[in-house]
Amino acid sequence: MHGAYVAVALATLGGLVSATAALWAWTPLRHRTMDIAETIRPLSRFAYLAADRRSGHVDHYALYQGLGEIADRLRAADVLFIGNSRLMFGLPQEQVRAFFGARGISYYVMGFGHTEGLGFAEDIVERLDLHPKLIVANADGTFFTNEVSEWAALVMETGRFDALKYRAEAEATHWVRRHLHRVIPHVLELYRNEPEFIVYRSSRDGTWRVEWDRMTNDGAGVPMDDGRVDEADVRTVAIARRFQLDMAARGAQLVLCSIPSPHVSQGHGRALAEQLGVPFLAPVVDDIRHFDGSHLTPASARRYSEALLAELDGVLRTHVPELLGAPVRPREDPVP
Amino acid sequence: MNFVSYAFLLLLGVVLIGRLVLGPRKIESPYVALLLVASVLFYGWHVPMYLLILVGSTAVDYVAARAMGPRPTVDAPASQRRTLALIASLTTNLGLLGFFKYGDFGLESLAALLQSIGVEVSLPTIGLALPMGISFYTFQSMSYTIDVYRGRLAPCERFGRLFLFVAFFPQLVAGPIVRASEFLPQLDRPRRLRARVVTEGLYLIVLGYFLKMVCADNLGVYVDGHWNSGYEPGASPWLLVWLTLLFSGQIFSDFAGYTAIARGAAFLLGYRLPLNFNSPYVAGTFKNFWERWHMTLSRWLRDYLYIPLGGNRGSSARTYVNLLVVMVLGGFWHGAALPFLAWGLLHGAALAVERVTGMHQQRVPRPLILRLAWFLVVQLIVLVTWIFFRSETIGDAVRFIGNIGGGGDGPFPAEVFWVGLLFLLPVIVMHVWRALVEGGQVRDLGPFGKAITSGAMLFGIASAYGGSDAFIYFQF
Repeated sequence: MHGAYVAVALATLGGLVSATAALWAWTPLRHRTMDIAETIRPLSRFAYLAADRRSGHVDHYALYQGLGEIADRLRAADVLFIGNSRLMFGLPQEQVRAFFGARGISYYVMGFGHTEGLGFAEDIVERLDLHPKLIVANADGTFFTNEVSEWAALVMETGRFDALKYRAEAEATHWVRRHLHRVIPHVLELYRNEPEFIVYRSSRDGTWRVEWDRMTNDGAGVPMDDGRVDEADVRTVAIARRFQLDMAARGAQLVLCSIPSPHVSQGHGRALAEQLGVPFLAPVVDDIRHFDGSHLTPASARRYSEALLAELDGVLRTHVPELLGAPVRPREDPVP
Repeated sequence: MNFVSYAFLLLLGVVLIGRLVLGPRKIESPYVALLLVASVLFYGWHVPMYLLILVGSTAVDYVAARAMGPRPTVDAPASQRRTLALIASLTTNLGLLGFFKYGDFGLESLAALLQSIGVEVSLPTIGLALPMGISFYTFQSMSYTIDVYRGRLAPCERFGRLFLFVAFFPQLVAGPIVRASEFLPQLDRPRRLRARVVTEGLYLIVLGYFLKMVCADNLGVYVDGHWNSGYEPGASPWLLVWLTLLFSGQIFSDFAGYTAIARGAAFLLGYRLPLNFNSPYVAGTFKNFWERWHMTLSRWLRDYLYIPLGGNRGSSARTYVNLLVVMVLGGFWHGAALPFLAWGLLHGAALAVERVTGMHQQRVPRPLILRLAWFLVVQLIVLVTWIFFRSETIGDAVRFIGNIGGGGDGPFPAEVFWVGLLFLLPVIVMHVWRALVEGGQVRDLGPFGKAITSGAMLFGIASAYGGSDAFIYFQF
């Protein structure tokens, strides 16, 4: 008899699910989509969930604790990119892999969301004892600060086991949501119709893979570098100089770059680079666009990163020529 | 470990399989051992170090109860040793609670007091995170030694049994506050996993997840997003009233949801946990409200504090003082913050006033209009007390209440009303249904009704879950 009650419960659930699925498929609601249901997860086993709406920025945990092979890959990197989400959007996986793969140079892209500043990245460099030869920092005005985001502060309080648990929960939740919402929508998310920020990240080189169709909108133009030099803030210079010296003690040279964004003064980065006496990478590329007032569209990121990496090539030749002489290492992870 | 996690579902699943394989009658030693291991894993999941506190306090209570000797009789009253053992147990439990929960508050208050008389001091802070569930398990533990001291319970012979009572994972972190006399006898009582147990347990679990993930978490979005606007002048009074209603729904759903999951999980594992919530917003008196809200804390305070203080056996004035003391301490139990004290004080004062007027006597026949009017007064004051409970400071709460009467013309977003109403509706329906059941107008849900409701709630969980996994009462 009690089996019948279970059957009634399941039948009720099935009926409601079917009715909702039908409404979603056959009414004007069909024009509303859920990003989580449409996202395509990279096939590579080296891609992990970096961020979604439910779990936040999981990659903070993964990189801070060097989970899996991340610590080894970070330690093996000769070129380390650091910065915030503008850097991550501005350095697409394909372009970066092609550039460094062709030169046989190991690298890692260690930028973070949450408008993360230097403090969090620097802590990772120290706790994982990284010794890159070259550090490329995206000096976009807000990066050189000792402050860390609230999210990073939370991550820094947790241990390795906590990070593993958090990632496992996040991956499980993500999997369930991806499959569940292919059948029925989340009613509130469908009602609000807000895009969901979903990112996967390579544990091998740290690059982001953003799975979000709505991000590919054309967006608006971003003003390009006009070559001017702004005045660098004294405190920012002091923080950057201390970082430069600390990294020099680790055998790393510092290079600054500036991924364009509407509210970023590349003159600030140039001034900072001059004060520190380091190269500054800020190529001028026509018709660069952003999609949200801050980050580059995929098409713009592809073109801009190619120009940026071409400038970086020159820096590699002058500052770390020994890297270019190294034998080409086979890349094991195919681009998904 | 959090109930809203796959880790918990996995743990519960493993223990249920363990019950089927190792303990079909649930009293088999391997199954009891599995419950102990699961409880340790559950509690140590986040901060394993805090297991030491849990084990340590339980060990003290175990030794103290054993040291109390034979039960007192008329011929042989309680010995001094018995009293000393009780004092050791209470000192340990209250000391741990005081140190972790009230240490910093006490130091800050002391520094402020000294400063007010012109003594400038810089006192250190403890700065330790509050061990999860310490307010709940210390109260449970104390109920054990007090009951042994009173001769109502025989001391546990095996430490493992007492530890399982304290650490039983479904109720460890946020109650219900179970008494040793309710739990320990269940350890020896065989109970097979019958179909009725499975369906009832699953129903409670689904109900709990629905209340938590759908109602509480979605209401919380609007409460958290707009509450602070209530401190600013010009806020819409209607918005603030609505936010207070939403918060009353949120805190009920959050806590009652947790309890329902705890009771359902325990039921599947072979144990009955006491009811903790019984539709408190249908209460017609303040006394009745506390018979329906966090019932296990209420009865703990009644039996281990109010009655020992004299209860209502002394003068009227003494009864009112007892009520105030108990409710203020009940407020303080929630946290070392003045708004909680104010919340407790208001409830204590309300209970005292109700006693003065005689309205606490529910069986006295009264005109419907009077009962209805008092019901509205009770629920209105309960709502006002929630403002204190939710606000950071008493000043904030007073400003919030002031702005309700202030006639501000701030915005009241339509979404806050309509979507908030959508997630408040299940709470309203639950309460109205309970009132109708108690009034004899309808019959309570039978298995068929529960089956349909379960299916609908599962659909709600799948299609309208909220974005949080933290329970409000975890912080207590």
